Amino acid sequence: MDLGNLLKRLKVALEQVSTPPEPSNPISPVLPLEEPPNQSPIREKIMINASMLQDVLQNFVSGTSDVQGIALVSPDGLALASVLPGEMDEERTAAMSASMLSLGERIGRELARGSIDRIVVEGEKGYGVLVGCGIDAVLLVLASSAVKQGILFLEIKRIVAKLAPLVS
Amino acid sequence: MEILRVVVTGSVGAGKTTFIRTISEIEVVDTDKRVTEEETADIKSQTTVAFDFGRLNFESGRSLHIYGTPGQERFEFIWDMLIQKAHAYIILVNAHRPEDFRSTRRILKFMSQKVQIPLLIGLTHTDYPDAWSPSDIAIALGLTDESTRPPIIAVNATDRSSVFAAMITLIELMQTPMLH
Repeated sequence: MDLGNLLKRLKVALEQVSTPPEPSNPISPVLPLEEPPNQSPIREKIMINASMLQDVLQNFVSGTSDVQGIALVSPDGLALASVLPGEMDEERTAAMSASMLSLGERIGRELARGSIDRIVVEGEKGYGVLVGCGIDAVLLVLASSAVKQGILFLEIKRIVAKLAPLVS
Repeated sequence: MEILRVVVTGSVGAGKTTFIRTISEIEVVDTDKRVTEEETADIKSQTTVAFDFGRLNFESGRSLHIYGTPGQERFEFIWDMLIQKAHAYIILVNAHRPEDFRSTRRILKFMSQKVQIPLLIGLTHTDYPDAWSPSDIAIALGLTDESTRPPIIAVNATDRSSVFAAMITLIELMQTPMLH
């Protein structure tokens, strides 16, 4: 790869960046602490409802045919509650769910698809469906390929309505 | 069109997203979400959960694509995806948060096990009075052999000329044969 040319152009670009030399004015901290710490009302509420969340998820998985797993995670990828097939790691699944929904929403915005209802991964062995669950949570539902899509989406809508008040 | 892909990685709050926002000529594609983890919420309010993407185009038809990773280890599947296609990478280290050096060291280990490509270590927040010196940070990161360790430079992620200078150093590295 001929990098010389690119390097030259970067250098030219650098010269064109006409940032005035930093005056020795009082340096503002690069990372201002915007809010005082220890403000986590969400977490406290979640702690109160943790067992209730777990119950709702457990009932959903055992009560809905062809649903194999479910995970409720925070938008930054931390698990809140989950009922997952044994081989799946909760922490990893939570992080992936947050990445996927965030990226899907971003793609939806860039490609002018309006607000995103759900992200669906359809594979040979079944579905992974991601939906927002209030502003403080993301819900992942895993279902086998035998599931009827209409029923799955309807059931997901119902459980979101049930879970959203518990995490908001 | 020739595309050069650079990955910007490092621990939480090192300045990866800021770095990319500073250098990119397009509006950065970011995937920031509100932080709920307490230890991270003390440092910043938003965190990357998938990746950031910035770009610089050159008249020659060349293009520099810059990808920023999340800092938390739970997102290591993203680290893997991005580093596999990278031509070079930068690890940003927050010089005044020694508590993050261990996580930086893990990132360093993860990346160097996956790929053997040019690497630059950029120290951010070096203007803090309690910031560590480059040589101390090198030791903390386990880079004790001066002859083989990657270059370590100070970067101000909010300053365009500083970020450009880091990028130039990285591209110069790509021109020289690798030592390690």
